[in-house]
Amino acid sequence: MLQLRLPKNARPQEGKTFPAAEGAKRTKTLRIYRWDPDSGDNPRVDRYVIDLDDCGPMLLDAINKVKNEIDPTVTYRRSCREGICGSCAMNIDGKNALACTTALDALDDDVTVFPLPHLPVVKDLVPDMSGFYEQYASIKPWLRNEAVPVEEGERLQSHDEREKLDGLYECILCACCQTSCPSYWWNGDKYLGPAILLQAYRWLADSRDGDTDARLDELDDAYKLYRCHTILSCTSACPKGLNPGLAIAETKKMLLERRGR
Amino acid sequence: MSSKSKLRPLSPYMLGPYYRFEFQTLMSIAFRLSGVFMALVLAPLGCLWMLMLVMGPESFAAMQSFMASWLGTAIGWLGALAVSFHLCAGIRHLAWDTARFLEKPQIRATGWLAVFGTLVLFALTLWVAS
Repeated sequence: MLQLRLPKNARPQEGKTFPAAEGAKRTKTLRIYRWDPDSGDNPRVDRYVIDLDDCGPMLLDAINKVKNEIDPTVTYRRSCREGICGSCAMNIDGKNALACTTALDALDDDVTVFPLPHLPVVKDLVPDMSGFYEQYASIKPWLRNEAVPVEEGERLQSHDEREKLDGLYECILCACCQTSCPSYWWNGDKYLGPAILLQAYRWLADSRDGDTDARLDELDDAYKLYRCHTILSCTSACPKGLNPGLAIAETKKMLLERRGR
Repeated sequence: MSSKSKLRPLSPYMLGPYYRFEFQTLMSIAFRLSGVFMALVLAPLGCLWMLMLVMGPESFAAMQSFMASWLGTAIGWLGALAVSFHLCAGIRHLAWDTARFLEKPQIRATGWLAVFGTLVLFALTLWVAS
């Protein structure tokens, strides 16, 4: 549903400021979204001033520095620190990205670090992603093929067939695209969203999968698929350079071609 | 939804204060706004215009004088802009429906092409009208 204002309990207020260590010459200020489930207060935005000369090059390094040296209560997800796990996806300066692949150099002196948009916040930068994972499970994202493979028990693919999966299999399910999509903000309960639809197309495009018709039947729905209005925020947001907008267009095209048969 | 998740605040998302306006977002919003303007203002106005013509010379003269007023003129120019933009952006969306022009540089290029096309069409309208 379209809402133009955040609910009362969700509106962030100004928080505390933590100055940089003495003698810091080059600094950047991280404005980090904070919400403590135990306090019952509204979310607030705390400001942490970072000494860039004593910090790694990436935004994740700066957030780690905040947690390790300034304020251990700051809560966020991170793991691989090299853009392959998708844990540190967040809203950075008003655009979704991975903190670990975002260079501090590329950011303004005042950086806003918010959780991924339009999700219930568990704590600080940690949003509740269970709805997202349920939607992922709903498309049954595994090879569906009842036919017994002929040659040596393997399902062989030509180079061309394998190439069709490039740009799809690399998705790390970080939800940057998903939560950048205004359609998903309004209809996230029924619309599958760009990340899930890219995953759905990943199986439609796989020559080894034998359940194309059933997959298309499941997607052929006014909300699940057709709430995509080709705004293309998803393609702009993807930190892996993938193109969910194109995958969705290919899916719609497959449905149209099937109808024409 | 558990009682705990009801207490959880919704993370901020609004375009503008919390999410950056980007070129493709602005194009999408303008496409919708121009469509809404055409459906809610332009189309009913066109019907009214014809109705007033059918009803006789006096009513048609009244309609003409309204369209010549500042409000009528403003609606006319806004309408010309909305139709020009909606046509160009609509062609872009039709092309996208064939799964073409969806690579990132193409999204930008076709966007600017649509803006350019809008300006050309609008200038043509200005020229014909004057």
